[in-house]
Amino acid sequence: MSDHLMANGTRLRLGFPVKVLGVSGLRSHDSRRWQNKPHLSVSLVYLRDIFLYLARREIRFYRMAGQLAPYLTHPDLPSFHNQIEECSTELAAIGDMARQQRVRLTLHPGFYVRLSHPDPALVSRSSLELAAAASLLDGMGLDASSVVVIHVGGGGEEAPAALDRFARTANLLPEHVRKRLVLENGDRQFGLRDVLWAHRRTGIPVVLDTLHHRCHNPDAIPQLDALKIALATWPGDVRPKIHVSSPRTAVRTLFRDGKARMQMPLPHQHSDFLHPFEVIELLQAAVSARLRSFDVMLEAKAKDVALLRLREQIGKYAPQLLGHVV
Amino acid sequence: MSQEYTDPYELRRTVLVAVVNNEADLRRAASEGWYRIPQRRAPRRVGADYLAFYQTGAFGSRSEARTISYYAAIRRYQLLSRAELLPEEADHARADEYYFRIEIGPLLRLAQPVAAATFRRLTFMHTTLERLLRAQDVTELKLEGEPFQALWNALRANRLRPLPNRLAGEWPVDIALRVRNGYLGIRLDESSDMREASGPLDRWTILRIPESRVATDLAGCLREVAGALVDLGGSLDAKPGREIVL
Repeated sequence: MSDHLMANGTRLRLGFPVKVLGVSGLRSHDSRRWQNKPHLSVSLVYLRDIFLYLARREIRFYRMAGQLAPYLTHPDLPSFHNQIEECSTELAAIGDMARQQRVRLTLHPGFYVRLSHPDPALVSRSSLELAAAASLLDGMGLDASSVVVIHVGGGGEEAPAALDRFARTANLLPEHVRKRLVLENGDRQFGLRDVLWAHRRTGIPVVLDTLHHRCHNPDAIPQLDALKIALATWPGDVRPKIHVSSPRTAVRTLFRDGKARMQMPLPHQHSDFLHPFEVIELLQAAVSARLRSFDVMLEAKAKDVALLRLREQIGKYAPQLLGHVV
Repeated sequence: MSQEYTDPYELRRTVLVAVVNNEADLRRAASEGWYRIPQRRAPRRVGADYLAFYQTGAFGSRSEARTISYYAAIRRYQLLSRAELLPEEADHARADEYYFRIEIGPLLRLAQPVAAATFRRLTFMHTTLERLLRAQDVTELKLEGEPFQALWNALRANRLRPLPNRLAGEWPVDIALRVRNGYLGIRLDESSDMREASGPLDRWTILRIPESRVATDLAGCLREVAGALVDLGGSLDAKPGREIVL
């Protein structure tokens, strides 16, 4: 097994989303309320500080905060609408820094982005949000690997209608926006088969979320097959990415109205750290199958700390993977 | 001008302490509302909620000399060339270099200025508003668990002249020391077998020191630095007299 693993060229980069927990005081974005005039320029300086941290930890895959440019598209706050233009130099500089450090950057706008919603106003707002995200990445001069992750969304009605609306709306987006989009399978609706359907009609690549796939896999597609299918939707010159997380298994105590309540773990909730053996199994399977190189966004509540711990665990329990995982 | 903060949320805000060694810069901060930091020599963390000013001995006999007496809320950052920042000094040798222009609110005077009784030479420092408002001496501003600061101070205490935040090829190093024909770059990180080997860098020799080791074995870290310096022909900046003991 070991020789076989080392012989092939599958490379896997681990990344984490948004918050840095490994050191105190590193902010992901300017979270001040509008009254205090938050600004993209402040977020970009926070991002620069995070990049220096990523360099020290040799982490080369990072998801930026969805609210990097605060209130950028808020319809009632026009004074925030020109932040990208106001920060053209700073955006270019942060893009240069990402390239120098070879950090892949991605975005994942909030749940309110719903291209498939029946309400045209909400769809219009979603399109605006995606255009802003694409403009941010364009402003940084980032290549096609810097993608914007979206969900199908939907408005609570039948899935086929929502999927159809998604495909029609996505195809109407400007080219520079659409080419940044990637589509994630859902954990309750819009499983792998559905997002593949959308991919065939829009060309938008599929991001496999392994936990979502376990939660909602009506076609009983084995995980490795799902991974192969998802990777095949990406253009040859763009490195695919997937999302990996482990389900919460611990009981939580919730406090509401001063009363404590025990909540049983729900399978779609993310755990603090990754289940090392499950992740190792997945990575080993990918390497053994000689899949193309891809990046792994670790969606764990402990963020970078979970990533660093997983690295240690890979070194301890699967040292044969070390040559493949960064 | 003095202002008391009691809001606990405000107290958790972050502060970047900058060193001001001339009156013009402080006057500009007060009247025009901005301060500048050269991008090339910027500290590891530039992002903060507040900017505080440590006024060096250059402020002479004024009571604010060698104290932090003023701070201000940070509003925005801009990246500008020196020529854009200071058009009246367009012929300056560093006119093309980029600077962070930090836009700030009105200067606030600390009710209790923070003195530097034991420190005479400060670099940028990151702290919290709570500490700034309560500290009596700059040593109280230091955040625990800052290996960079600990190693930096130890190198200086050993009469070396460390340089912060330099780029060695494509990668930043935390601390650089000048050696014969180049630099010794120190990276503070947790080394791991999973790292990609970096290729040889012109004029740079890289020494990795795990951050956790700085806290537990500072003397050992210094010995390692000293050993590397000996191998590389010694530090060009070391002052005679007190050397690191191997």
